[in-house]
Amino acid sequence: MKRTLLFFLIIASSSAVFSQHGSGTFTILLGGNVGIFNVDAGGNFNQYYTDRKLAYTGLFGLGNGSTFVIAKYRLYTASGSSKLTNVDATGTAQWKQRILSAGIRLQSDNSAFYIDATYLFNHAEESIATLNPAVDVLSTTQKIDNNGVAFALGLAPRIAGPIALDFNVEYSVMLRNPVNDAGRQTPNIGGLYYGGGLIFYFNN
Amino acid sequence: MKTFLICAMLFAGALWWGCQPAEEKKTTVDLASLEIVPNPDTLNLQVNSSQTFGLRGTKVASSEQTITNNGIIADANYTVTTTDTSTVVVSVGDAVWSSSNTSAASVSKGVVTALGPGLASITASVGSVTSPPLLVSVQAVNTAPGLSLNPPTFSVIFRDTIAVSGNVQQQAILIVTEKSSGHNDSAVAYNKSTGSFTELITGLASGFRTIVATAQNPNQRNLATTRYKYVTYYPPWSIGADSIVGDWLGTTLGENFEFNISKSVIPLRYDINGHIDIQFAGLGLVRDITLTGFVNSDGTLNVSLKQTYQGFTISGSLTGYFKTTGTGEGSYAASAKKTGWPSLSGSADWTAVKQ
Repeated sequence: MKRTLLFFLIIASSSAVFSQHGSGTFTILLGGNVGIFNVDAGGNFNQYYTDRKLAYTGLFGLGNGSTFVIAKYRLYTASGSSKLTNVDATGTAQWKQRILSAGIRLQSDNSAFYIDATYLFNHAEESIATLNPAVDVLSTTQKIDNNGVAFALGLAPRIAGPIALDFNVEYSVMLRNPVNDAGRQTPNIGGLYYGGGLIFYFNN
Repeated sequence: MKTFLICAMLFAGALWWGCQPAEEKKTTVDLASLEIVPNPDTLNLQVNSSQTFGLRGTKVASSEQTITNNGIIADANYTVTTTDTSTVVVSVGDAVWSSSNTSAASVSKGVVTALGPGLASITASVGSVTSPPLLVSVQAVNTAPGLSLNPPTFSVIFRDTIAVSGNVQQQAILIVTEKSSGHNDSAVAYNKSTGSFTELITGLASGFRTIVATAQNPNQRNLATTRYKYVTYYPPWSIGADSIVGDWLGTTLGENFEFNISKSVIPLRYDINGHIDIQFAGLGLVRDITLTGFVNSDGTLNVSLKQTYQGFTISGSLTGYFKTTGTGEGSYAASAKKTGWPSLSGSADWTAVKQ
């Protein structure tokens, strides 16, 4: 369902872009970057997750002139400690988040700056456990699937032929924060992403 | 420019805040058991005499606490019940006292009054908690006084000393004798309120010995009650004492268990090693609990129980004595503890025979 919706978004946006700009040259974007993802979580994420890995993002885009339809896929993992109360035990926590997003990129022909506005489909899994087998009952894995929006500012200077460096900062926010298995409303698990990588521009 | 403004506004979007679950702790205190004190095995009273008793209770404080494990989006919680037991004095006026035979003895606010010859069970109740019965034996004035000796009747000992204890009717003259040691105490001291006594006999000669206890009516000495206790005394590591060395097969709650008695590296001591299966309420049968200890010189057993089972730490003790060098009996009590769990217990009697 999620992928079908994404496909329709890309097709619909592409139709809009190409009908607006006629049948001139169009460009395919392929890119990837690595970055630091600071999950919001009400400002608490860093208190739980001290071992935060790099986030990896893949990019595909199709455009004509200064407007591109883009799709991104991001994978982010982290590990740390859960918070235990009233028991003498140590908690562990594992975080895995996948974000699939689709939207529009605006970048004029003779500028390295670009702006992205995307709609995202978020999936996050968190496993918390204890190192004390006597309270294994406190170990659980819970998942969230929700949607949000993201906006990015980027700089992509050409360095050789179709190849450009890519530096960007993106903020994402969830539109709905579901209630977890224990009845608590989860915090916003969007956040600020700082990335760097390469983009390949292929023109017809 | 317009696009940048829109982006800047959206970058300042709202954050969603999580919240931590509140800690819960609920404590309840209940009276779990009630006991009449003092509580001799049998209270011997003469008609028209009376005795005052008190009440002792055991209160159990149960505390429920929720322990939690929280992540960013995941939460787990679990409620733990812990108990704390304490002994308290219960006012005799707060209890409902009753006698099973009001023609023999009556009771009011802890005062037991002997009315006529016979037996009566005295109990006290507070709410739904009732004490174990206090057995009262009432004798007519011109009868032989009541006398009872604490078990065991037959036992094996490994030293020349034995303590004989029991309960005698008030005002009686108590005499304890044993031939081989020349022990002859014609006025054994006893507690004037409860009638309980303990007489130490030393210098026993080895072999089978008979201890004679006699309670005489002070007004008519020929009205007497006599009780016997039999002991077999073997010096440790003598041929007779060594008869306990070897493999033993025990039985408890229909389950067999085995232990071995051997001469210790410590001079004149016997070691005990083996395994036992214990039934725990809430946990089931735990097999092969290690049993280690030794035989005391008074013939009793000093044995500890230890095991780890599914995260539970099991500990306890086994006590008992030898009826002969080939038979023994006693009881055990063990507890199983695990963080986050209430303490579980298992106890029962056992018997054993030498193989």
